Amino acid sequence: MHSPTPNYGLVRPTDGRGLTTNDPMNVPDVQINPNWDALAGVPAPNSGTTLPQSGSYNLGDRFYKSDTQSIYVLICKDVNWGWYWRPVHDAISPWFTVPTTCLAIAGWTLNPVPTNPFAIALDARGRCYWRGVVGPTSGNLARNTSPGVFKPLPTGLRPARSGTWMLGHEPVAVGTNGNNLNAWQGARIYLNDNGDPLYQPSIRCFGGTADMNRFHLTGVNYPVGTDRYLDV
Amino acid sequence: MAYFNFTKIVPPAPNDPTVNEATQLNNNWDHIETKLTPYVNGGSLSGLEAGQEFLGTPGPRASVWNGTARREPDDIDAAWTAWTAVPIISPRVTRPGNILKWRQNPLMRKVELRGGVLFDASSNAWTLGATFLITNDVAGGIPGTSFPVGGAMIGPTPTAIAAAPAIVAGAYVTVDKPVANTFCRIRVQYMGGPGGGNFIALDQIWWWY
Repeated sequence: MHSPTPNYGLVRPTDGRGLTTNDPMNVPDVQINPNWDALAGVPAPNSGTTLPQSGSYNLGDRFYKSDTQSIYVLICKDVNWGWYWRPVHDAISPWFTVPTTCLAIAGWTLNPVPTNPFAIALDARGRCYWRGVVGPTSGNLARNTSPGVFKPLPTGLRPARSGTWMLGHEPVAVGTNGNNLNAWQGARIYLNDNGDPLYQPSIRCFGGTADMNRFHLTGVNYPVGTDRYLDV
Repeated sequence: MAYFNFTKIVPPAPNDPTVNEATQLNNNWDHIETKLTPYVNGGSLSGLEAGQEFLGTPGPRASVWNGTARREPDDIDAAWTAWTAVPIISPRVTRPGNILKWRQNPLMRKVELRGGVLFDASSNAWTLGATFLITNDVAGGIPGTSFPVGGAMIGPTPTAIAAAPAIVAGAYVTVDKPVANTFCRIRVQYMGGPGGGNFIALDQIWWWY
Protein backbone atom coordinates (compact mmCIF):
# COMPACT_ATOMS: atom_id res chain seq x y z
CA MET A 1 0.00 0.00 0.00
CA HIS A 2 1.64 3.19 -1.15
CA SER A 3 1.69 6.39 0.84
CA PRO A 4 -0.79 9.00 -0.27
CA THR A 5 1.91 11.67 -0.31
CA PRO A 6 5.39 10.76 -1.57
CA ASN A 7 8.32 12.63 -0.15
CA TYR A 8 10.10 15.43 -1.91
CA GLY A 9 13.36 15.64 0.06
CA LEU A 10 15.50 18.71 0.13
CA VAL A 11 19.19 18.59 -0.74
CA ARG A 12 21.58 19.88 1.85
CA PRO A 13 23.39 23.03 0.72
CA THR A 14 27.15 23.01 0.20
CA ASP A 15 29.78 25.64 0.68
CA GLY A 16 30.74 25.69 -2.98
CA ARG A 17 33.57 23.14 -2.58
CA GLY A 18 31.31 20.15 -2.21
CA LEU A 19 31.41 20.22 1.56
CA THR A 20 28.40 20.68 3.74
CA THR A 21 28.26 23.74 5.88
CA ASN A 22 28.04 23.68 9.63
CA ASP A 23 25.55 26.47 9.82
CA PRO A 24 22.76 25.20 12.08
CA MET A 25 20.42 27.70 10.50
CA ASN A 26 21.02 26.28 7.05
CA VAL A 27 20.01 22.62 7.24
CA PRO A 28 16.56 22.77 5.71
CA ASP A 29 16.54 19.06 4.92
CA VAL A 30 16.88 18.14 8.58
CA GLN A 31 14.42 20.76 9.62
CA ILE A 32 11.74 20.24 7.01
CA ASN A 33 11.93 16.67 5.77
CA PRO A 34 10.49 15.20 8.99
CA ASN A 35 7.36 17.17 8.21
CA TRP A 36 7.03 15.51 4.83
CA ASP A 37 7.69 12.18 6.49
CA ALA A 38 4.90 12.82 8.97
CA LEU A 39 2.46 13.66 6.20
CA ALA A 40 3.52 10.73 4.06
CA GLY A 41 3.37 8.39 7.04
CA VAL A 42 -0.34 8.77 7.54
CA PRO A 43 -1.57 5.18 7.36
CA ALA A 44 -4.05 3.99 4.79
CA PRO A 45 -7.61 3.44 6.04
CA ASN A 46 -8.27 0.11 7.71
CA SER A 47 -10.09 -2.03 5.23
CA GLY A 48 -11.14 -5.56 4.43
CA THR A 49 -14.13 -7.67 3.52
CA THR A 50 -14.93 -8.77 7.08
CA LEU A 51 -15.87 -6.27 9.75
CA PRO A 52 -13.55 -6.83 12.73
CA GLN A 53 -14.88 -8.48 15.85
CA SER A 54 -11.69 -7.82 17.81
CA GLY A 55 -8.59 -5.67 17.68
CA SER A 56 -7.55 -2.19 18.68
CA TYR A 57 -10.74 -0.42 17.72
CA ASN A 58 -12.71 2.09 19.74
CA LEU A 59 -16.35 3.04 19.45
CA GLY A 60 -16.71 5.47 16.56
CA ASP A 61 -13.79 4.01 14.63
CA ARG A 62 -14.26 3.58 10.92
CA PHE A 63 -13.56 0.64 8.68
CA TYR A 64 -13.76 0.42 4.91
CA LYS A 65 -15.57 -2.71 3.74
CA SER A 66 -13.84 -3.09 0.43
CA ASP A 67 -16.17 -5.61 -1.22
CA THR A 68 -19.29 -3.50 -0.79
CA GLN A 69 -17.32 -0.22 -0.88
CA SER A 70 -18.78 1.30 2.24
CA ILE A 71 -17.47 2.90 5.39
CA TYR A 72 -18.69 1.30 8.63
CA VAL A 73 -18.72 2.86 12.09
CA LEU A 74 -18.23 0.75 15.21
CA ILE A 75 -21.20 1.46 17.48
CA CYS A 76 -21.17 -1.44 19.92
CA LYS A 77 -18.43 -3.47 21.61
CA ASP A 78 -19.82 -5.90 24.12
CA VAL A 79 -18.18 -8.93 25.64
CA ASN A 80 -21.47 -10.86 25.60
CA TRP A 81 -23.24 -9.57 22.49
CA GLY A 82 -20.26 -8.98 20.21
CA TRP A 83 -19.32 -6.08 17.96
CA TYR A 84 -21.71 -4.20 15.67
CA TRP A 85 -20.84 -1.86 12.81
CA ARG A 86 -23.24 0.62 11.30
CA PRO A 87 -22.99 1.31 7.55
CA VAL A 88 -22.54 4.74 6.02
CA HIS A 89 -22.74 3.96 2.31
CA ASP A 90 -24.34 0.51 2.32
CA ALA A 91 -28.08 0.53 2.97
CA ILE A 92 -27.78 -2.20 5.59
CA SER A 93 -24.96 -4.05 7.31
CA PRO A 94 -24.24 -7.73 6.94
CA TRP A 95 -26.15 -9.90 9.42
CA PHE A 96 -24.07 -10.30 12.55
CA THR A 97 -24.65 -13.70 14.10
CA VAL A 98 -25.13 -13.11 17.81
CA PRO A 99 -22.85 -15.25 20.00
CA THR A 100 -24.38 -17.65 22.51
CA THR A 101 -22.77 -15.63 25.30
CA CYS A 102 -25.77 -13.28 25.01
CA LEU A 103 -27.92 -15.90 26.74
CA ALA A 104 -28.55 -15.28 30.41
CA ILE A 105 -30.19 -18.55 31.43
CA ALA A 106 -29.49 -22.20 30.91
CA GLY A 107 -31.74 -24.39 28.82
CA TRP A 108 -32.12 -22.03 25.86
CA THR A 109 -30.48 -22.06 22.49
CA LEU A 110 -30.02 -19.45 19.80
CA ASN A 111 -29.94 -22.07 17.15
CA PRO A 112 -32.87 -24.51 17.26
CA VAL A 113 -33.14 -24.03 13.48
CA PRO A 114 -29.55 -24.19 12.22
CA THR A 115 -30.37 -22.45 8.96
CA ASN A 116 -31.94 -19.51 10.76
CA PRO A 117 -29.69 -18.38 13.64
CA PHE A 118 -30.28 -15.33 15.79
CA ALA A 119 -28.72 -12.42 13.90
CA ILE A 120 -28.83 -8.64 14.04
CA ALA A 121 -28.33 -6.06 11.28
CA LEU A 122 -28.12 -2.27 11.33
CA ASP A 123 -29.16 0.04 8.53
CA ALA A 124 -27.74 3.38 7.45
CA ARG A 125 -30.58 5.23 9.18
CA GLY A 126 -29.81 3.85 12.60
CA ARG A 127 -32.45 1.15 12.79
CA CYS A 128 -31.72 -2.26 14.23
CA TYR A 129 -33.28 -5.45 12.85
CA TRP A 130 -33.45 -8.91 14.38
CA ARG A 131 -34.12 -12.22 12.74
CA GLY A 132 -33.68 -15.89 13.45
CA VAL A 133 -35.21 -18.39 15.81
CA VAL A 134 -34.55 -18.96 19.51
CA GLY A 135 -36.11 -21.32 22.00
CA PRO A 136 -35.66 -23.86 24.77
CA THR A 137 -33.08 -26.51 24.06
CA SER A 138 -35.68 -29.16 24.76
CA GLY A 139 -39.31 -29.12 25.76
CA ASN A 140 -41.44 -26.00 25.74
CA LEU A 141 -41.62 -22.62 27.39
CA ALA A 142 -44.42 -22.66 29.93
CA ARG A 143 -47.07 -20.13 29.04
CA ASN A 144 -47.56 -17.01 31.11
CA THR A 145 -44.02 -16.98 32.41
CA SER A 146 -41.40 -14.37 31.51
CA PRO A 147 -37.85 -15.68 31.76
CA GLY A 148 -35.10 -13.15 31.22
CA VAL A 149 -33.62 -15.05 28.33
CA PHE A 150 -30.91 -12.60 27.33
CA LYS A 151 -28.24 -10.65 29.12
CA PRO A 152 -28.98 -6.92 29.15
CA LEU A 153 -28.74 -5.24 25.77
CA PRO A 154 -25.52 -3.25 25.56
CA THR A 155 -25.23 0.42 24.73
CA GLY A 156 -25.35 0.75 20.98
CA LEU A 157 -27.97 -1.96 20.54
CA ARG A 158 -30.61 -0.68 22.93
CA PRO A 159 -33.77 0.77 21.43
CA ALA A 160 -34.48 4.47 21.78
CA ARG A 161 -37.55 3.53 23.82
CA SER A 162 -38.15 0.36 25.74
CA GLY A 163 -40.94 -1.63 24.23
CA THR A 164 -42.63 -4.89 23.43
CA TRP A 165 -42.61 -6.68 20.13
CA MET A 166 -44.82 -9.60 19.12
CA LEU A 167 -43.00 -12.71 17.99
CA GLY A 168 -43.85 -15.48 15.64
CA HIS A 169 -43.98 -18.81 17.44
CA GLU A 170 -44.26 -22.53 16.89
CA PRO A 171 -46.23 -24.63 17.27
CA VAL A 172 -49.02 -22.34 16.22
CA ALA A 173 -52.06 -23.71 18.00
CA VAL A 174 -55.32 -22.28 19.28
CA GLY A 175 -58.13 -23.23 21.54
CA THR A 176 -61.40 -24.60 20.31
CA ASN A 177 -63.59 -21.77 21.55
CA GLY A 178 -63.01 -18.43 19.93
CA ASN A 179 -65.00 -16.66 22.62
CA ASN A 180 -62.83 -17.97 25.42
CA LEU A 181 -60.37 -15.33 26.53
CA ASN A 182 -57.65 -17.97 26.72
CA ALA A 183 -58.39 -19.48 23.37
CA TRP A 184 -55.84 -17.61 21.27
CA GLN A 185 -52.20 -17.13 21.91
CA GLY A 186 -49.12 -15.14 21.17
CA ALA A 187 -45.59 -14.44 22.26
CA ARG A 188 -43.66 -11.28 22.86
CA ILE A 189 -40.25 -9.95 23.77
CA TYR A 190 -39.61 -6.94 25.97
CA LEU A 191 -36.48 -4.87 25.33
CA ASN A 192 -34.98 -2.36 27.71
CA ASP A 193 -33.63 1.08 26.88
CA ASN A 194 -30.96 3.17 28.54
CA GLY A 195 -33.27 3.97 31.43
CA ASP A 196 -33.11 0.37 32.58
CA PRO A 197 -29.74 -0.85 31.33
CA LEU A 198 -29.60 -3.88 33.59
CA TYR A 199 -32.93 -5.35 32.52
CA GLN A 200 -32.69 -8.71 30.80
CA PRO A 201 -34.84 -8.94 27.66
CA SER A 202 -37.59 -11.40 28.45
CA ILE A 203 -39.73 -13.65 26.29
CA ARG A 204 -43.27 -14.56 27.26
CA CYS A 205 -45.94 -16.60 25.58
CA PHE A 206 -49.57 -16.59 26.54
CA GLY A 207 -52.97 -18.04 25.77
CA GLY A 208 -53.80 -20.93 23.55
CA THR A 209 -53.92 -24.58 24.38
CA ALA A 210 -50.45 -25.67 23.34
CA ASP A 211 -47.02 -24.75 24.64
CA MET A 212 -44.40 -23.28 22.35
CA ASN A 213 -40.74 -23.88 21.84
CA ARG A 214 -39.60 -21.77 18.91
CA PHE A 215 -39.76 -18.02 18.74
CA HIS A 216 -39.23 -16.09 15.53
CA LEU A 217 -37.56 -12.70 15.88
CA THR A 218 -38.13 -11.20 12.43
CA GLY A 219 -40.69 -8.72 13.72
CA VAL A 220 -38.25 -7.01 16.07
CA ASN A 221 -36.95 -3.70 14.71
CA TYR A 222 -36.34 -0.35 16.32
CA PRO A 223 -34.23 2.79 16.14
CA VAL A 224 -31.06 2.42 18.16
CA GLY A 225 -30.25 5.07 20.73
CA THR A 226 -32.08 6.77 23.51
CA ASP A 227 -34.48 9.64 23.86
CA ARG A 228 -35.01 8.64 27.43
CA TYR A 229 -33.92 12.01 28.71
CA LEU A 230 -36.21 13.89 26.37
CA ASP A 231 -39.29 11.86 27.23
CA VAL A 232 -40.75 13.77 30.15
CA MET B 1 -10.79 32.64 -0.87
CA ALA B 2 -9.03 29.38 -1.42
CA TYR B 3 -9.54 26.74 1.21
CA PHE B 4 -5.79 26.07 1.27
CA ASN B 5 -4.00 29.31 1.92
CA PHE B 6 -0.39 28.27 1.96
CA THR B 7 2.35 30.87 2.06
CA LYS B 8 4.79 30.20 -0.73
CA ILE B 9 8.48 30.80 -0.27
CA VAL B 10 10.11 33.59 -2.26
CA PRO B 11 13.60 32.80 -3.53
CA PRO B 12 16.36 35.07 -2.24
CA ALA B 13 18.14 37.33 -4.61
CA PRO B 14 20.58 36.35 -5.93
CA ASN B 15 19.14 32.84 -6.12
CA ASP B 16 21.29 29.97 -4.90
CA PRO B 17 21.88 27.85 -8.02
CA THR B 18 22.51 24.65 -6.06
CA VAL B 19 19.63 24.68 -3.66
CA ASN B 20 16.37 25.96 -4.98
CA GLU B 21 14.43 25.72 -1.78
CA ALA B 22 11.54 27.62 -3.21
CA THR B 23 11.04 25.11 -6.01
CA GLN B 24 11.33 22.13 -3.73
CA LEU B 25 9.09 23.46 -1.01
CA ASN B 26 6.53 24.81 -3.41
CA ASN B 27 6.44 21.47 -5.17
CA ASN B 28 5.39 19.96 -1.89
CA TRP B 29 2.73 22.54 -1.23
CA ASP B 30 1.40 21.92 -4.72
CA HIS B 31 1.44 18.23 -4.06
CA ILE B 32 -0.42 18.55 -0.80
CA GLU B 33 -2.94 20.82 -2.40
CA THR B 34 -3.48 18.37 -5.24
CA LYS B 35 -4.08 15.55 -2.79
CA LEU B 36 -6.27 17.40 -0.36
CA THR B 37 -8.33 19.60 -2.63
CA PRO B 38 -10.56 16.69 -3.66
CA TYR B 39 -11.62 16.35 -0.04
CA VAL B 40 -13.37 19.66 -0.42
CA ASN B 41 -14.01 20.21 -4.07
CA GLY B 42 -14.03 16.75 -5.64
CA GLY B 43 -12.13 16.65 -8.91
CA SER B 44 -9.20 14.42 -9.68
CA LEU B 45 -8.87 11.79 -6.99
CA SER B 46 -6.12 9.67 -8.41
CA GLY B 47 -3.96 10.14 -5.34
CA LEU B 48 -6.46 8.80 -2.81
CA GLU B 49 -6.44 5.45 -1.12
CA ALA B 50 -9.46 3.17 -1.41
CA GLY B 51 -11.41 3.70 1.76
CA GLN B 52 -10.62 7.38 2.18
CA GLU B 53 -13.59 9.65 2.78
CA PHE B 54 -14.01 13.11 1.35
CA LEU B 55 -16.59 15.80 0.89
CA GLY B 56 -18.20 15.41 -2.49
CA THR B 57 -19.50 17.86 -5.03
CA PRO B 58 -22.16 19.13 -5.19
CA GLY B 59 -22.49 19.86 -1.54
CA PRO B 60 -20.85 18.27 1.44
CA ARG B 61 -21.62 14.61 1.15
CA ALA B 62 -20.02 11.62 2.80
CA SER B 63 -18.40 10.06 -0.23
CA VAL B 64 -15.78 7.35 -0.10
CA TRP B 65 -13.14 6.60 -2.73
CA ASN B 66 -13.39 2.99 -3.87
CA GLY B 67 -10.10 3.03 -5.77
CA THR B 68 -11.47 4.18 -9.11
CA ALA B 69 -14.56 6.27 -8.38
CA ARG B 70 -16.49 7.96 -5.64
CA ARG B 71 -19.10 5.98 -3.76
CA GLU B 72 -22.00 7.77 -2.14
CA PRO B 73 -24.52 6.36 0.33
CA ASP B 74 -27.08 4.02 -1.17
CA ASP B 75 -30.47 5.56 -1.85
CA ILE B 76 -32.64 3.22 0.18
CA ASP B 77 -35.95 4.77 -0.86
CA ALA B 78 -35.20 4.67 -4.57
CA ALA B 79 -34.34 0.98 -4.37
CA TRP B 80 -37.86 -0.14 -3.49
CA THR B 81 -39.73 -1.77 -6.34
CA ALA B 82 -43.27 -0.74 -7.10
CA TRP B 83 -46.07 -2.33 -5.09
CA THR B 84 -47.31 -5.34 -7.03
CA ALA B 85 -50.51 -7.25 -6.43
CA VAL B 86 -50.11 -10.75 -5.00
CA PRO B 87 -52.10 -13.44 -6.85
CA ILE B 88 -54.45 -15.03 -4.34
CA ILE B 89 -55.67 -18.63 -4.27
CA SER B 90 -59.47 -18.92 -4.58
CA PRO B 91 -61.76 -18.79 -2.65
CA ARG B 92 -59.66 -16.33 -0.62
CA VAL B 93 -59.87 -12.84 -2.09
CA THR B 94 -58.08 -9.60 -1.50
CA ARG B 95 -59.90 -6.91 0.42
CA PRO B 96 -61.19 -4.03 -1.71
CA GLY B 97 -59.45 -0.88 -0.58
CA ASN B 98 -56.63 -2.89 0.97
CA ILE B 99 -55.31 -4.79 -2.01
CA LEU B 100 -52.70 -7.33 -0.97
CA LYS B 101 -49.42 -6.19 -2.55
CA TRP B 102 -45.73 -6.79 -2.10
CA ARG B 103 -42.52 -4.94 -2.83
CA GLN B 104 -38.85 -5.64 -2.33
CA ASN B 105 -35.66 -3.70 -1.78
CA PRO B 106 -32.54 -5.33 -3.22
CA LEU B 107 -30.27 -3.10 -1.13
CA MET B 108 -31.97 -4.15 2.08
CA ARG B 109 -32.75 -7.63 0.78
CA LYS B 110 -36.17 -7.18 2.31
CA VAL B 111 -39.73 -7.96 1.17
CA GLU B 112 -42.74 -6.13 2.58
CA LEU B 113 -46.44 -6.83 2.29
CA ARG B 114 -49.41 -4.54 2.59
CA GLY B 115 -53.15 -4.98 2.35
CA GLY B 116 -55.45 -7.73 3.54
CA VAL B 117 -57.36 -10.81 2.59
CA LEU B 118 -60.96 -11.88 3.07
CA PHE B 119 -62.13 -15.41 3.74
CA ASP B 120 -64.15 -15.25 0.54
CA ALA B 121 -65.94 -12.77 -1.68
CA SER B 122 -68.89 -12.76 0.74
CA SER B 123 -66.67 -11.92 3.72
CA ASN B 124 -67.68 -15.05 5.56
CA ALA B 125 -66.05 -15.70 8.91
CA TRP B 126 -62.67 -17.33 9.15
CA THR B 127 -62.53 -20.76 10.71
CA LEU B 128 -60.85 -20.69 14.07
CA GLY B 129 -57.48 -22.37 14.14
CA ALA B 130 -57.51 -23.33 10.50
CA THR B 131 -54.70 -22.53 8.10
CA PHE B 132 -55.50 -21.00 4.74
CA LEU B 133 -53.38 -20.78 1.65
CA ILE B 134 -53.13 -17.21 0.38
CA THR B 135 -50.72 -17.65 -2.49
CA ASN B 136 -48.60 -20.45 -3.78
CA ASP B 137 -46.76 -21.47 -6.91
CA VAL B 138 -48.71 -19.09 -9.10
CA ALA B 139 -47.31 -17.13 -12.02
CA GLY B 140 -46.91 -13.49 -11.07
CA GLY B 141 -46.32 -14.34 -7.42
CA ILE B 142 -43.40 -13.36 -5.23
CA PRO B 143 -40.39 -15.01 -6.88
CA GLY B 144 -38.52 -17.74 -5.08
CA THR B 145 -35.38 -15.64 -5.28
CA SER B 146 -36.98 -13.55 -2.54
CA PHE B 147 -37.97 -16.35 -0.23
CA PRO B 148 -37.14 -15.90 3.47
CA VAL B 149 -33.56 -16.51 4.51
CA GLY B 150 -33.39 -19.42 6.91
CA GLY B 151 -36.25 -21.30 5.27
CA ALA B 152 -39.45 -19.79 6.67
CA MET B 153 -40.74 -16.64 8.29
CA ILE B 154 -43.47 -16.86 10.91
CA GLY B 155 -45.00 -13.69 12.26
CA PRO B 156 -48.12 -12.41 13.97
CA THR B 157 -50.61 -10.15 12.27
CA PRO B 158 -53.93 -8.52 13.22
CA THR B 159 -57.42 -9.28 11.99
CA ALA B 160 -60.95 -7.98 12.16
CA ILE B 161 -60.13 -4.31 12.36
CA ALA B 162 -62.88 -3.16 10.03
CA ALA B 163 -65.53 -5.41 11.53
CA ALA B 164 -65.54 -3.52 14.80
CA PRO B 165 -62.69 -1.29 15.92
CA ALA B 166 -62.99 -2.36 19.54
CA ILE B 167 -62.59 -6.01 18.68
CA VAL B 168 -59.24 -7.47 17.82
CA ALA B 169 -58.17 -10.93 16.89
CA GLY B 170 -54.99 -12.48 15.71
CA ALA B 171 -53.54 -14.51 12.91
CA TYR B 172 -50.21 -16.02 12.09
CA VAL B 173 -48.52 -15.80 8.75
CA THR B 174 -46.03 -18.32 7.43
CA VAL B 175 -43.98 -17.53 4.36
CA ASP B 176 -41.82 -20.20 2.79
CA LYS B 177 -40.90 -21.75 -0.52
CA PRO B 178 -41.53 -25.45 -0.93
CA VAL B 179 -38.72 -27.05 -2.87
CA ALA B 180 -40.74 -27.55 -6.02
CA ASN B 181 -42.06 -24.01 -6.00
CA THR B 182 -40.91 -21.24 -8.28
CA PHE B 183 -42.77 -18.68 -6.19
CA CYS B 184 -43.16 -18.05 -2.47
CA ARG B 185 -46.00 -19.58 -0.49
CA ILE B 186 -47.98 -17.55 2.04
CA ARG B 187 -50.34 -19.16 4.56
CA VAL B 188 -52.33 -17.65 7.39
CA GLN B 189 -53.79 -19.26 10.46
CA TYR B 190 -56.74 -17.53 12.02
CA MET B 191 -56.28 -17.41 15.78
CA GLY B 192 -59.67 -16.06 16.68
CA GLY B 193 -60.89 -13.43 19.04
CA PRO B 194 -64.18 -12.35 20.56
CA GLY B 195 -66.51 -11.56 17.72
CA GLY B 196 -64.33 -12.83 14.94
CA GLY B 197 -63.34 -10.76 11.99
CA ASN B 198 -63.78 -10.28 8.34
CA PHE B 199 -60.26 -9.79 7.09
CA ILE B 200 -56.67 -10.51 7.95
CA ALA B 201 -54.25 -7.63 7.52
CA LEU B 202 -50.73 -8.36 6.30
CA ASP B 203 -49.32 -4.85 6.59
CA GLN B 204 -46.82 -5.75 9.26
CA ILE B 205 -45.45 -8.81 7.52
CA TRP B 206 -41.98 -8.59 6.07
CA TRP B 207 -39.03 -10.85 5.70
CA TRP B 208 -35.38 -10.85 4.69
CA TYR B 209 -34.07 -12.72 1.70
